[in-house]
Amino acid sequence: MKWSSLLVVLFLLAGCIPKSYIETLGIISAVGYDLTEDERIRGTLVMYQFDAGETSTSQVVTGEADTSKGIRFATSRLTSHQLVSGQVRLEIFENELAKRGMMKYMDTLQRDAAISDMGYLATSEVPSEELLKSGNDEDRPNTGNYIQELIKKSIKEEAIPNAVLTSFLHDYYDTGKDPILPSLTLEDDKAVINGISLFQDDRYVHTTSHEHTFYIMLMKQEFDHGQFQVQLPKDALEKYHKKESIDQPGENALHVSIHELNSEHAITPSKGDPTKQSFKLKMEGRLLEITQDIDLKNEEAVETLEKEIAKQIKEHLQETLQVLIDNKVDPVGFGAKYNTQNRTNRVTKENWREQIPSLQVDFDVSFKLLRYGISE
Amino acid sequence: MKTNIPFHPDRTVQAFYLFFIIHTSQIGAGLMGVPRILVLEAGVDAWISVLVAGLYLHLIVFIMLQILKSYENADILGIQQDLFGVWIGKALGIIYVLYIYMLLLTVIKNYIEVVQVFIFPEMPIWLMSLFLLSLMVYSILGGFRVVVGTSVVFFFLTIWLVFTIYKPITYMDWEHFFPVLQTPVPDLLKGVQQVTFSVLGLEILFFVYPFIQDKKRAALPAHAGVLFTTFLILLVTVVSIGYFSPDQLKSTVWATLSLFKIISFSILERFDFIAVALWMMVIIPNIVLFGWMIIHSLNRLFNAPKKPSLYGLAFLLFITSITAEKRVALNELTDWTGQIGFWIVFVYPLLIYVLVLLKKSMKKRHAS
Repeated sequence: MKWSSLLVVLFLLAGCIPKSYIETLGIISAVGYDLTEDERIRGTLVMYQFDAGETSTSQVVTGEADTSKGIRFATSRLTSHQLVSGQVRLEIFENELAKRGMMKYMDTLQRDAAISDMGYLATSEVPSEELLKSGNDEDRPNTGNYIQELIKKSIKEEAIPNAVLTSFLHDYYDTGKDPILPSLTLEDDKAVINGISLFQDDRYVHTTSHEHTFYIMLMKQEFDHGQFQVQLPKDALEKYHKKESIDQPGENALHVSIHELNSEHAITPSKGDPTKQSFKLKMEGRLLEITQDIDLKNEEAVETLEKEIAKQIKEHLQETLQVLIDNKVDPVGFGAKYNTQNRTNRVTKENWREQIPSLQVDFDVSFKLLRYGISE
Repeated sequence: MKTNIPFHPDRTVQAFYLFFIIHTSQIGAGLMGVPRILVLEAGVDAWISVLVAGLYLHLIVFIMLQILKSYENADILGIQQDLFGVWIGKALGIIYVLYIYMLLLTVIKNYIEVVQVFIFPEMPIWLMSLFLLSLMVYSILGGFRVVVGTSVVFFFLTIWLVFTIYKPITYMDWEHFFPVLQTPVPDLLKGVQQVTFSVLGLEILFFVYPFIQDKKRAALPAHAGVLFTTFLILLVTVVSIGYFSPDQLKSTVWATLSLFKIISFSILERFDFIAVALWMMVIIPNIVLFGWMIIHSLNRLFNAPKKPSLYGLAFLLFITSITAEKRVALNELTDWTGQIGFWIVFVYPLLIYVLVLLKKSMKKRHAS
C-alpha cells in the first residue's frame, strides 16, 4: 500500500516538470546590441539549433526592442524554435550604445539566473550585427562561437585582460576602479580584436591601440607567461656588438622580443593624497628575438640590455598613463588601492573622476633576463 | 507531563551524532543569502561579526548544556514546566512549537523560491512543497533514529560542495578587506544579530538531549557542530566579500549560490544548477529535524498521537506554503521568524539558566 501510493505519486508528479526537447530549442550562443537611429536597441542573436534534417546548425536573427529581453521576444516570431539563454557566452555592445552606459542593458545579465557569469563581454566599433553576420573562414560552427573562442584564447595567452561578465561587474562596482573590455572590429569581413575599450564606470569613452593594451595590462594585472616586443634606441648596445659578426650589426633599429614574461607589481599610494602614487614593477622574461648581434656572454651586455628594456617600459607606461588620464579613466584601480590604506579623505565614485587628471604616478621598473634561447 | 523523559536505549543515539544534528539543523536556507544580509549591516567587516557571533554561539551551547545537566533526563518542555508550573510551561511550549513551525515554513518557502528563480520558473509551488513534505513525513515515520540518520547521510552527501569554492577564491580581491574596521561597532553588532538569524536551529539541543546515550561526552560534538557552522558561514562570507564588490554584493540576493555560477567542468557547463538542486539535500535535514521537534513537542505537551499529528502538520504546512506567492511576503515571514528566533534561541536560554540557578540555591537553603 505504502509503496504503490509512493509510485503513483512519483509517476503523476514527474509529468508536472516542464520539458524542453533539444530539437525545439534555439540555444542562443552570442548576442549583439546596437543602437538604431530612433534610439532603440537592435539585438542580433546567434543560435544553435539541432534539427535532424538540417545541415546548418546555426542561425542569426535580428530584432528591435527597448529592453534586452524584449529583443528575445521580438525575435521569437522569426524562428520556430524556443529561444533559451542558458548558453549565452558572448555579448557584444556597439560603441554607440556603450557610450550611454552599459549597465541598463546588462541588467538582465545580472538578474536572470539562467545566464552564466562566465560569458564574455566585448565592445564593437562596427555595428555588432555586421560582426555577427560576417563570414568566417575558420571552421567554427558560427561567428559568435568564433569570436568567443578568439577572446578566450587571447585571454589565455595574456594578450588581452580578462573580459568575463563577473570581472566587468566587479570592476564596475568597485570604488576607484573602472572596467575595460576588448574591442572588436571587422577586417576583410572577419572579426578581429583591435584594442581595449576604456570605460568611465559603465560608459564607453575610448579605444586604445594595441601597444597600450600591453602596458595597461602591465599595470592592472600580473603576468605569468605573457609576451611583448619593445624597440630600443639603435645604438643603445653598440659597445657589445660581436666583432666577428658578418653583417653590419648596428644598421637597423634594435627590436627585442620577450616571452614567458612574469611580472609582479606593488602600488603604494601616498598618505592622504590619492593623486600621488608610486608603482613598483618587477619583470622577468626570456629573450626570444633580438635584431642586432649582441654578445650575450658578456654580463655587462646583458645588464645594459636589461636596463634599456626597463627604461623603455617605464617610458611607455608613462605614455599609457597619460592616455588613461586624458580619458579620465582608472582601469588600474589607483583610487581603490588608495582606499584600502587610508581611512580619511577617501575616494568616492564621484570625486575620483575629478581627481584623475591630477594623478601622478612614479614608476619604478626593473627587468631581469632569465635565459636567452639556444644561441648566445 | 513528566519533567524527565524515560530513557530507552533503543530509541537513543550516541553523543557524537550531536555534531550532525546541530550542524545540519543550523545550516540550511539561511546560508544561501547570509553574505549579503551581513554586508548590508556590517560592510566589508562582516567577517568580524561572524567571528563574534561564533563566540556567542559557543557561549549559548555551554549554557544550554549547563541547564540540561542540572536535570536528570529532561528537555526544554519539561524544564519549563518544572520552572514555571504546568500552565505557563505549556504556553511557552506552544510558543516553541509555533516558532519552529514558522522556521520550517520559511525554510521550505525560501528553497522553493530559489528553485523557481534558478531552475524552473514555471514549476508550481505546490509540487515542490509536496515533494519536500512527503520526504519529511517519510523520514519522521521512521522515528528518531531515522531522523538522525537522515541528517548524517545528507551531511556527507552535500559537504563536498565546500570544495568547489576554490574557483571563486581564485577570483577574490583581498583588497576589499582593507582597511580593517571601517564599520562602527553598533553596525558590527547588528551584523552579529544577522548571523544568528541564519544559524537558528540550535534550539534542537534542548529537544534531543534526553535521547543521547553518553551525556558526559555531549559537550565536544555540540561545540564542534557550532564551530563547523561558524566556519562555513565565515568561509562563504569572506569569499563573497572578496569575490563581489561591496555594492554588487548588496544587490545579490543569494550570494552563496551566485558563487557557484562561475564553476564549470568540461562535461558540466553550469554547475550552479546542480548546486541549487543539491541544496535540497542541505535543507532536508532541516525540514526533518524541525518536523520531528514539532511532533515530539505536541506529543509531550498534549499527548497527541504521533501519526495523525504528523499528517496534520504536513497538511497544514502544505496549505500555508502555497499561499503568499510574492517575495515581499516571504521576506516579511523570514524577518519575523528571525526576530522571534533570536529571542527564543539566543536570549531565552540565559533567562532559563538564571532561573535554574536560583531554583538550585533555593533548594539548598530549604535543605539546610
